[in-house]
Amino acid sequence: MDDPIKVGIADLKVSTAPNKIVTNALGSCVAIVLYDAVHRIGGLAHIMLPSTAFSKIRSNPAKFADTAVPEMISMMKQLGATKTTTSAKIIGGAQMFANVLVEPLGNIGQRNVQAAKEALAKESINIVAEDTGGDCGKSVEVNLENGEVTVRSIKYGINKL
Amino acid sequence: MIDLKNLTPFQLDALKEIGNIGASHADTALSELLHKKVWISVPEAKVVPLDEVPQEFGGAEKMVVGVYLQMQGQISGNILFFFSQETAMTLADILMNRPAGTTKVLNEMDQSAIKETGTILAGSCLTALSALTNKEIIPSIPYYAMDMLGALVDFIIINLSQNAEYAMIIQLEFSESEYKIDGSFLLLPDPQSLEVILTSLGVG
Repeated sequence: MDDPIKVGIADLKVSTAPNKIVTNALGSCVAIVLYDAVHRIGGLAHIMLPSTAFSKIRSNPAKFADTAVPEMISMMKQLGATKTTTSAKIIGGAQMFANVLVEPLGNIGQRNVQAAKEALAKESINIVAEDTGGDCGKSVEVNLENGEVTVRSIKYGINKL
Repeated sequence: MIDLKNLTPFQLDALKEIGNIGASHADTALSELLHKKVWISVPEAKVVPLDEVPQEFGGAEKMVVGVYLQMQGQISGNILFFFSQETAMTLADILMNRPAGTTKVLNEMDQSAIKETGTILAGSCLTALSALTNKEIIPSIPYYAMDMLGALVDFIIINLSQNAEYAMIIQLEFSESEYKIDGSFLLLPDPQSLEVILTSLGVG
């Protein structure tokens, strides 16, 4: 099998079975995973901020929860996915250093998780699993064969979603 | 707002000089604290695309122990001091007066001692920065975490990404040969503070 497709920070990728998509070391960032189980097409976005309102540099849709979700849906559509057969999983949004707040965002991890949920609700996509919050870093692998998401962290080892 | 991509070599040299003076203060402070001769490398001042920051320091999944402080006052920004778990254990042995190799798990006391080391290092660098720029800078309390480097720095990247695509980083590397301690100390001023720094150094 080919190497897994890598997603960096403020980046998103879509692909089809039997490929795998990975992203590493999420802290306060959030991974939004979409998977169409019927067409076996999926995507992963590694977002940094809740919405374009929080940055002066807005050109990259993968950077924000509110723009990454529609972008990923449209890219998956081009591969043959349909929204009605697509569901979501979200991972990350931790607070790595307890009580550190980033002004004006406050608890940025929590804000990102909330924004990801809102963006998915807006597109009527169900969240079927999540591994969010807490205080530990997470790496994520999505298996587009079956939509299974493997979350790795130093504190909890492996968690399958 | 200052364009980080277009900092002149002259401006980068001025920023490096902050590192140099900070390093000589930090060198003394750390050597006294550990009762060992600690070496600090020639500082670097570099401009790194935000999404490449973890790679720049050894990769997103590298396991590290980190101490984070916020810079507040007339100059704001982030300070991150990080090192391997092995170095953290050795530091704990030295700071807690235990024979080398004793520490296997970092308890709360060890974590406090490591945080204190971060505070001392940050304090010595900020004193230098404050004296050079004639600006008031107040460090926050230190915060401790052990995890993947990428996860530890992403909120700093997020913070900077509100106003910039690049991070300006002043980097010091320190090492001690007898106990094989090594680590990195990063100073990441906010973009608006970088302007303040450069102006007060006369290279704005």
